[in-house]
Amino acid sequence: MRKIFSIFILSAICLLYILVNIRSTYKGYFGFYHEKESDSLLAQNGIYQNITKLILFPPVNVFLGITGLESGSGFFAPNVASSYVVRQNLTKTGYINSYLINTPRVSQKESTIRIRTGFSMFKDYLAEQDDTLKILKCDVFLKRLSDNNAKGFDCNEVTSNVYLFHKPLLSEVRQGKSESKYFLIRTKQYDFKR
Amino acid sequence: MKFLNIKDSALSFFRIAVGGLLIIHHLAIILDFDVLFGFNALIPNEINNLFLESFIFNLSKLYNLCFTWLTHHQFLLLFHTVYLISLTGITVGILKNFFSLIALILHFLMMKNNGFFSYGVDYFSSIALFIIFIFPCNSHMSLDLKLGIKRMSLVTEKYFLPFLQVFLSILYFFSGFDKLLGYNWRNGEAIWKTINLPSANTYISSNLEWLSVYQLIPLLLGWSVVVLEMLYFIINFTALRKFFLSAIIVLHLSIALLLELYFFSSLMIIFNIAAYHNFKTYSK
Repeated sequence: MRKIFSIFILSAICLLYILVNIRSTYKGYFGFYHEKESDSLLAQNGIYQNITKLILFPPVNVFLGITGLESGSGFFAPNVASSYVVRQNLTKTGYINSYLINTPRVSQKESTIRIRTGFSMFKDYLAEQDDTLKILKCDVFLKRLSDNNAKGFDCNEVTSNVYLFHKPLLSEVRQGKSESKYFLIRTKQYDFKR
Repeated sequence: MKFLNIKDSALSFFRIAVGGLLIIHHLAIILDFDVLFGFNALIPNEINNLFLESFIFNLSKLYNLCFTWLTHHQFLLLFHTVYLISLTGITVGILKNFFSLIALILHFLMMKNNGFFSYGVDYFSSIALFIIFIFPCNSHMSLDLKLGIKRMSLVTEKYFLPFLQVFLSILYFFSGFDKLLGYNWRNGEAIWKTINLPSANTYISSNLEWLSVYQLIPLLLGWSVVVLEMLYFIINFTALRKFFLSAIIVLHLSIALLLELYFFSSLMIIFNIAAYHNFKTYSK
């Protein structure tokens, strides 16, 4: 009996993981090749919709969340995502000196990696209307990041610039382009009264 | 001298290695915990919760529900203490079922407190804790064994290796297949882009500029990753096991060095070693 139970449980986990991955493959593929009509194409896709219904069913959703099976394994696929860089100019009112920083001011390296993971949300600055919740989230993140960094340098005035990073592709290198480019996508100025 | 069989050694290795790694991983963010996952997170709890399904629980919701008698600082201190004790319990193998369940739940609550700062290592940490919870990973080299504590588990230990092997085969197949769908992985651009990510190790990446001259190399590397991952299940043929195990470990070491994802890579190497390393020569 225990043997059957074990096989049933483990098979169910593997099946769920396959379904999560199929869904993630669909999402990644349409998101990459049909970015603008991705949502409508996915809405018409029966397989994707049925898997989504199952995955979003609350008990299944909680189970997948707790067990970590909620994410597909297509890391860096189908395309390596665009990168965003935040550069901040920090000054203190009445002082001439300023600091130019491009890494979050935290104590541990792993924390920097995590915060940089969060930078991927800045893609919403390119895709969303200004009054959406996603933009609000990006704005709040940028403001709190600025405040955190300013505190670390004992400053209060911050100019935060968010850039889309572009390293020339191999095909562009062949044409003689070699300079990395930083496209400014958002700039914000803050004065944190302390 | 009594020899452990392969699955017993693999179970013990998996439990001890995962427990130890997760302790180090948690200590690696503990000084900045408040700005990452705490009450002063760079993405405020209130905003994070707007992006969560209402039925998903996290640290801030737990605090508001039943811990308001503690200050934020005391609550986080309690969280760190219980989480680290649980991970230590897993590592030394005492009350494994209890501590792995507690660690699994606390890890989930922490990640859901700010999902925007989560990456691969977090999902695989949860998966690893779940595997430790359902399998009798305390059946050998554990305090539970020494103290005679009853060792129950949801599923029997004989399925540990088959499950881990099937799971890894699924994982790598989709990882490779998703890459195959992207034309950038088929023309070498993805490898070039990965090496040159702003978050990549600048010392190594700045010394790999020459790859743009020999563009066949990133092209071959891209295809190697796709083929290795998609055909990973061939590792189950004993004759090819050493080759595939070595290759996948080299892949994860490269990820660690280039992208500085040390914890993610270490965890994936632990998964692979537990599933495919031949432990039978080690004695108790």
